[in-house]
Amino acid sequence: MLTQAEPAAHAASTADASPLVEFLFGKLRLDSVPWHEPIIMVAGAGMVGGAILVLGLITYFKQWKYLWTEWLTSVDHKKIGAMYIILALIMLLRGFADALMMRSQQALASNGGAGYLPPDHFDQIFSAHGVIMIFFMAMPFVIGLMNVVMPLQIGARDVAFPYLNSMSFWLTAAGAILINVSLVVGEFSHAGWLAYPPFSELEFSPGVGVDYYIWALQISGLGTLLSGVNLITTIFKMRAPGMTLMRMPVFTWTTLVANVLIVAVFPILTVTLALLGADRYLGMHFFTNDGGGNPMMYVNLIWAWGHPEVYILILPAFGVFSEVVATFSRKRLFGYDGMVYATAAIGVLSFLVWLHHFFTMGAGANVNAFFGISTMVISIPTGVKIFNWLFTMYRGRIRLELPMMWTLGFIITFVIGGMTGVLLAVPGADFVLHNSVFLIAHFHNVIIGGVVFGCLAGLNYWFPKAFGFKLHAGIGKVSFWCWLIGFWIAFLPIYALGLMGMTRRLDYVNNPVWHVYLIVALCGALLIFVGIIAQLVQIVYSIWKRDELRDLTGDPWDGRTLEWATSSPPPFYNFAVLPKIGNHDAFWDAKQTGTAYVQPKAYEPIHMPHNTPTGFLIGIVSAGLGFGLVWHIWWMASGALLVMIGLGIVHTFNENRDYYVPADEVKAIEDAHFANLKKAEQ
Amino acid sequence: MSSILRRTITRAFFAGSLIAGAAFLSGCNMVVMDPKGPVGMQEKDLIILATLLMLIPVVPVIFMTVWFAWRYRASNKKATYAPDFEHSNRIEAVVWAIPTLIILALGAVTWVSTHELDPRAPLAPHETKANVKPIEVEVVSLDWKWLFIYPEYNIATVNEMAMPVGTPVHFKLTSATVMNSFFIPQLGSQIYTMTGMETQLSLRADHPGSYDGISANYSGHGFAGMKFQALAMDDAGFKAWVAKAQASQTSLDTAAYAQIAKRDLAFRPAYYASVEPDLFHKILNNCATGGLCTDDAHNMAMMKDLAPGAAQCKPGEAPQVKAVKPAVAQAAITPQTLLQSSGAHKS
Repeated sequence: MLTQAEPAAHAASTADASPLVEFLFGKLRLDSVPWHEPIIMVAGAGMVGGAILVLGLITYFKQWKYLWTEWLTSVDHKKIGAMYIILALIMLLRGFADALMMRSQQALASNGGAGYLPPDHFDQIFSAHGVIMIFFMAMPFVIGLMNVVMPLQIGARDVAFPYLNSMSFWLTAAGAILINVSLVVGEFSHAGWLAYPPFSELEFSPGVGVDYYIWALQISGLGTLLSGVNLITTIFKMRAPGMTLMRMPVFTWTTLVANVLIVAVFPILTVTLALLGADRYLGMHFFTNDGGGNPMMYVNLIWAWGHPEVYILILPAFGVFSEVVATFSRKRLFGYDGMVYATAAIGVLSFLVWLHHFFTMGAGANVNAFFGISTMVISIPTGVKIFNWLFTMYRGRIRLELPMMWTLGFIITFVIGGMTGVLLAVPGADFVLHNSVFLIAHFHNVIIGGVVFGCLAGLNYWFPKAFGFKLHAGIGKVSFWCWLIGFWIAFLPIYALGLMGMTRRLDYVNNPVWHVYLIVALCGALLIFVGIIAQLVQIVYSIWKRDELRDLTGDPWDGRTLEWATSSPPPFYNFAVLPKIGNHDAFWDAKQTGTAYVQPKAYEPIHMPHNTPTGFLIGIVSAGLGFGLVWHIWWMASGALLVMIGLGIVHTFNENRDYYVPADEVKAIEDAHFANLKKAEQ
Repeated sequence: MSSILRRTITRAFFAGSLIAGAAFLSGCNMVVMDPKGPVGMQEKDLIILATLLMLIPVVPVIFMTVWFAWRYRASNKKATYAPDFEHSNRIEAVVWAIPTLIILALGAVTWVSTHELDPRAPLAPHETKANVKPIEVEVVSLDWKWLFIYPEYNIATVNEMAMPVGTPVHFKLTSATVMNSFFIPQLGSQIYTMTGMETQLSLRADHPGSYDGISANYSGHGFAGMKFQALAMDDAGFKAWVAKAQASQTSLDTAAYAQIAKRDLAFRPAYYASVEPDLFHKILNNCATGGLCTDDAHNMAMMKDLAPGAAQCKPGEAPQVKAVKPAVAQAAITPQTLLQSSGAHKS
């Protein structure tokens, strides 16, 4: 039934090429594009068509200049954050298309049929799904929220290194571009989202898929690391007067801990992938089967990054929920100190648990028991957080607006996911549940129920801050219920299938008993898809009806923290006068004491950074670097690298980086804001 | 009328969800919850115990979430409103104490059960079979099939293995290709198979039957078909099974092994009447199809360090160092020893 479909075609087609062709195109040939795969061709055509449509519309409406000056070259943290989130939403669609293909393939190929995806395509799809959802959906979404919100929460005028921020984003975008190019030109990795060797070595993966994986992650990982440095510096150096560490809003705290984790662990990822790259490009033997390599070293290293990574994602989500719960309960956050210590504790403990991803490697009982128990210990601070949110609601005045609904959905979903997680942390239980779809259900339970719900809560909560109008509540509720119910319909059967002995990553399932469960799971996935569509419709509809949804006050939710003290959208300098902070609910206190909304008599000039195209250009050229490396087109790779370095050097000679906004201009903007406030009062 | 109707609907809904829930969670489909041997049995009990322990906080949390959200809704002006209530030593002590106590209990369970379920720990025979010796089985994962060698019977099989009911089976496992995970869900614990490394596992089947065996770690495009049958038979049946293999026309020599080591899908079980001596050891040391064995290479390297003159033997020539083989060279390549250096040795 299945025959060998080795990527030997690449080797064959490159062998008889002339030296010139090989110099110009490396391993790239016309037949590198899978012309014969209708699914890929249709998807590729859709992608290219979509891109042409967008570019055409921009041209038609003559928006290139606006796009260039206001977005592509912007160093404004709010705009960069918004672009991160737009990238995340686009990649959510791509990653979810992969999910639907997997779910439908397994549903179709579980009753004797073969489904519609050949195994080597299915393998690329589950690898792409994981990579895209973690690196190019969840990460940009979380980093986007941190970018938009954190400087506003600490009363800063931008991040510490605005140009670096722009470059970080465009490096991330370059990684996403590479992943999408791999769909049509060549292939993507078929080695799973973590590319375990020896499978990801040349011996078993001779194609370019793993190389796409390596370079997409290296380039975007660099962006993430730089962004981490940037946000940490911002928090440590740019807080408004009076904002001690223990007066920072909890979202800022979680941002701080998450970025400390980024700076600590992303270098591990970089080195691990570099070693794998050395094996593949330079014939080394770090993780190969022969030559003294040891693949399990890779597995240890990748999880030394991988486990803190999940806390990099979930901690900011916890931060969002902390803000939302306090605001919509109209009450101070319960146990602020406990929240901070719990966050820090989770950050530290996340380094001590990586081995729980491979209890079945055959480690001794003491080792397994240590890592099992250290994993469970994380559930203590996490449990404290949940109780603190509950006691924030206790004796509050709860408004069931969208962000609060996401938060309640999160608590109920996440405690179940946490429970199955602790179960998997018991080595004896993991011995039968490891790598089963029970594990798949567990981590989707915490990542969808925790990270995604957190991001969507954050999106609904801070959208009016970033753009000056609320998102439509009715459509948002449709999205919420589809996500919540769809999640449970999709993943309860998958939990059950795990207990039935179904393992992950099967391209066909020869078991008619499982068929009905997979059909139900597919229905759940389709319901989630409706939720995603509703989410996008909500955004588009709200933009269309923005005048009806307009918020003139800058404080649509009766907020507590500093970001609500300025106008919506905030002026590019965020705060005309830096606020003085006496509490972590600074704006709430100001409203109580009547010191909010008092216009100062005079303004001073504000020091701001100029826009620069350097970050954008370096990012785009880095995609060329990655592409050249993937296909062994050395002139392209080295040329791109030189251009990137050159751009960086040229930028250092740019002395005209900053300027002062004249006091008159500030006054004009602020007068308009106070006029709006008056209008809103009427 | 409408209230009766509503009550009927509510009752039907509850009855329906109860039935659905029961059907969902029970039934003989849940192989992990329906184990046929002591390892799986203990793991099932562990899953149930851990789940129950965790439900102690989880159920109240879900209940409190719904209750608080309803009780303190903004429109309910009767509920107490305490906008500045943000701290209570008593409550905070309780919210730290509850998860801590649960984890203390679960941690103790984990420590004990992890040691009991150590895959390398020997397993006693079923009480009806006192003094029976465990059967040795050597397992090799290949692309995309399983090779089983029974050194005591000098037979080998592909994609089918058998064991007598009640007799423990001691597996030694490795991989001749990428990493796989050897797993018979109804018997319990899985374990990775890795090239150049040997893992161990003890299992026992207490009920006769044919159990599905799988690879639980993705290993390439033939992975979904990489299955085997584990037959648990009475002693007579097992003897007959061994005899059937011994009666096979083919034997597993280097050439035959090279044939099955090729990357393809072999769905049909195969039997081999005899096995090349030391085949498992050679696969483990990457020399089953020729070349210098890893352990010999290590020993030669050691000899070179110890006595420069002794390292003159050429590759392929049997090095004279079998007696020195031991610890260091082995330790360098097995994950167990790597990890045991942190004090986990259990012999």
